[in-house]
Amino acid sequence: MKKKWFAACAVVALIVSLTGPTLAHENTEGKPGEKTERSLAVDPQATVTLCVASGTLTVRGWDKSEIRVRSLDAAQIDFRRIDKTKDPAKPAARVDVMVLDKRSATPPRLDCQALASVEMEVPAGATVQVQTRDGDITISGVAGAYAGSQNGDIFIERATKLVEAGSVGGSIILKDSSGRVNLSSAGGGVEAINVRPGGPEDTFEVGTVTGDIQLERVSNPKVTAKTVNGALMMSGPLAKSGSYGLTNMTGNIILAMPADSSFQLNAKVSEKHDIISEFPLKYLSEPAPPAPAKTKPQPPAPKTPAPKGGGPVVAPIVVEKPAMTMPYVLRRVTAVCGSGDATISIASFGGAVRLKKI
Amino acid sequence: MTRCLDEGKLQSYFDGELPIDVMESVTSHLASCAACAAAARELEEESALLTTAFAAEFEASVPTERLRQRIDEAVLGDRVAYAQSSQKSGGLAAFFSGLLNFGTQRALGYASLAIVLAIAGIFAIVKMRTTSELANTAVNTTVPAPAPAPAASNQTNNTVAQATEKTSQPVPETVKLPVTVRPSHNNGVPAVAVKYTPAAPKPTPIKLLPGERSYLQTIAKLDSTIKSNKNSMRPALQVEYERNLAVVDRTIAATRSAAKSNPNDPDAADFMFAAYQSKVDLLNTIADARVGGGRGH
Repeated sequence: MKKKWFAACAVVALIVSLTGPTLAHENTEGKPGEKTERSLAVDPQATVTLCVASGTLTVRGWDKSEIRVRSLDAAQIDFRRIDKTKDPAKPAARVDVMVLDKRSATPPRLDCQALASVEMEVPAGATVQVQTRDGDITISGVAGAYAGSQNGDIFIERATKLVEAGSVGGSIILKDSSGRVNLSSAGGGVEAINVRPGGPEDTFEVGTVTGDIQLERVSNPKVTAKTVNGALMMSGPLAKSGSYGLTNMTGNIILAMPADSSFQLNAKVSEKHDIISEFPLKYLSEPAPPAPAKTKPQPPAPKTPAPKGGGPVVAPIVVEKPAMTMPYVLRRVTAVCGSGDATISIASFGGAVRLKKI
Repeated sequence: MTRCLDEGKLQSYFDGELPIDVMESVTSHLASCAACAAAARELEEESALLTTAFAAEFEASVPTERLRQRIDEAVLGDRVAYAQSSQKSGGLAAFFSGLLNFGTQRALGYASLAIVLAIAGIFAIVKMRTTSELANTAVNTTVPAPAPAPAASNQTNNTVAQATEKTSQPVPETVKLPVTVRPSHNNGVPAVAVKYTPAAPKPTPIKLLPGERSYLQTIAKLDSTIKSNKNSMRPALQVEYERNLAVVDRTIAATRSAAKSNPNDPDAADFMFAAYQSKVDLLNTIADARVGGGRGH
């Protein structure tokens, strides 16, 4: 009898010893195929950072004052408060989400080295900073979004205050957002649709090297778009008194605007390429070509066919390239359409410029 | 650079044969050292003197062609005369008498030959002198051989010199001199005709445009930062980097050429600076990506 009692106790003790650690780390350690999940109460306008070496990151804003992080791949998820004033009674205002896989969870714990896809919910007023090397990033419904990926694509929608996104080879898409925007990709395309300013100082900047830039209904008061070799296209109504600076080194620039658009155009393009406008342009002035160097007399720059000194309204006008043999001459066009509310500054070294009506 | 420059180094400097960093140090030294600046001016005057002396020869497109033609005519005439005389008399005495027989064509031929030999002698002396000076300079300053033409796509310009060379192919860079010691052209003849060697392609020095140097320095720093990371770049990043870098470099070369040929056009320079800025931005992006980013706070 004593032996049976002793054996039963031993079995119970074994079961308890095996289940104990699991209960203590509930929702923090994941086995393969199991979801690891952690939550933390935070300030409604908290700043949350999340970074992994590889994996898809998905962030959504919600109406709760807490963050919830889930992953199928992570071995462990921890929160690290980095508030300046670490008052445990208050919810965290700045939090680092530490996602650790089996390799990075062992000491020394390696930050940003996990190979794991992560989903995260944050307060709608939060600012998130997420980074992954290879995976895609999706962010929606937050106040601020900083996103970086080397080769993954970045998709952001319904951001309300600011967006900064950068990628080396991936594309970037921003939709239905407002606030200050800065997007850059070396080889990937950048697309922005329905972006508004949150305040008068909210600028919109986008730049690529070889990626195309497509802007549709971007109404920030100051828009700057630069690309080296990609196509640059902007469509939609112009912001009243808006300032648009579009630079394309070797590619074409296309602006598609409503027929009643009012703007002043300052264009600098190579003589080899055309400026084609479907809008009635009134030429204000034609800057004189630069004076030839004293040591190297150059032939005078050929005159452009544009009328000088406030000529008559011509519509539509196609500024044809004249026959010429000079290797490089810049053509400058300053013209106004309507009352000239917005200012469009276009510079293209080796591409054509086209102004289209929509 | 505190020591004064030797003549060989100055000559190499004028010829655009020094690497870009040495060029810059020489430029800064010339700006601060009156003795070296005076030596530079003296060298310039010597070059100008020689250029003027040989201007007539250099103005003709191929001066030796005319000489060769006249010599050929003279030799042909001589052969005809010799054949006729050998038919008549023959023998050694007739040969020597034929040599000393100065007809009009033969006199012209001898005179032309003498001119050719004199010019060749002058060139040989000057060449020997400058070659020995260059050899000394090479020992002291390790003047590199002209860089090979890079394969466009798989070469990343890694140093300032290489970067500059890629952007201004096919000629290497030199820096703008504090004093105009070397006119760019003199009736189509390079001012440093002293060292002209028709067999080898002569690198034409190109002056850095105002404001260009700071971009090159920034690019060199970023490039060294990228290279200082010992971890090899991941293939996907490497491909993207090189593809975009090649595009930017081509654009820099094109805009730089335009800015150089239109020195009074600020907009042309703006395009060049925009292209340089694109490269700086690209290198920044790659440098950040290589470091690994981290959380950034």
